[in-house]
Amino acid sequence: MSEVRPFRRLIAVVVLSSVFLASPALAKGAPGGLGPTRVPSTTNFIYLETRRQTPFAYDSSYVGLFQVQYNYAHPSMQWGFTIAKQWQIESGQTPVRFEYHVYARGKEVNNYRPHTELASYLFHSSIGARFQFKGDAPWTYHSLRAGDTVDIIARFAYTVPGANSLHDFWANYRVGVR
Amino acid sequence: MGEAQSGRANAAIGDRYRTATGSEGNQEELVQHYAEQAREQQASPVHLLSDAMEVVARDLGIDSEPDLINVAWIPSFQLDEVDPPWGARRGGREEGSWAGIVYLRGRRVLIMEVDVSYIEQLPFFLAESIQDAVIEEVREARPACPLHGHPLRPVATPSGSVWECPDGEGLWSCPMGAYYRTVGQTSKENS
Repeated sequence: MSEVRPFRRLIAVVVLSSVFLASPALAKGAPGGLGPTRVPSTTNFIYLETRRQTPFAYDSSYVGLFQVQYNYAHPSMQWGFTIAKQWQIESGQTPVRFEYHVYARGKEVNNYRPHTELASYLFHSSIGARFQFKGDAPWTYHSLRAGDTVDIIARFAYTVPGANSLHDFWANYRVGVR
Repeated sequence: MGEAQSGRANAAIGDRYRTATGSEGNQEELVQHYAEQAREQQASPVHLLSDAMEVVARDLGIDSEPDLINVAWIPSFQLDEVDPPWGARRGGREEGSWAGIVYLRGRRVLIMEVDVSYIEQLPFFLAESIQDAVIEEVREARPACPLHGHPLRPVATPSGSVWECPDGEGLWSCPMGAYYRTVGQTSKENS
């Protein structure tokens, strides 16, 4: 095997970076409004970041509006999802089943509680100042801290009124606490 | 209807239409059937869960409104049938895991799962799940912190379940089920 020279390695990095940043096919982030602290995503999640100066971030897509806030004084994260208007109209008065799956430090956070509400509801959830991972004893507590990355997977579905079909949605967010 | 009918799916966000497999009415009938079956055949855990619910309801001030919140308790392994999960079956339910299907004024609002092997902490599991829904419904802090007025936070300890001021450990706390008695003592001491 021949050794890759540093210069060639640099060229390879630049070319690969350009491909990832320029290619719309690889940029799998949601279309539309970028949050103020959003970093372009090339993966299967939409990356958002909170910082002390900007503890709030959001992402707007055709599925809906996701907003997240991190409290640096009392380490905790709150977020909410508003379903886009066109799906609120499509679902009408049919309840929407909405669930979050949340992961941090490679483990699932114990806050899975599917909710059923009308589509106009603000589907909110949080990781409190003390939280548990699935499988923990209930008195075991963890706290978020700067440097943590939290994956929030939102899924919702409703029966389309007047049709024998369900409409499913998913939106995957990754929030970096920096 | 075919999948990805909207044609706007990618890895990060997306949607799809799929054929409905059953009606909500059928699911509700199943919930009631399994809950009734559980009451008859597994009376002990259902009794534990109901007792814990009473404790929490008392502190949330909803015990005088029996129709505000109702919970149908079923073993978690039956949840896939009454609340079909996204895609694959959930599977892997542990022994002692129960699901509470929560109805607020008769409308199904959420599903919680609890482990009945933690008997002393059952009120904590329930409070953590339903406190927010109750607060949204009654539009006031329940139970309210006697020092600051905000909602108290449910906390589990190795010996039980307590309400605690969210501003900091040790500021104010009381065992679940003893909220009104403790608040009464606090106000007497302060006067």
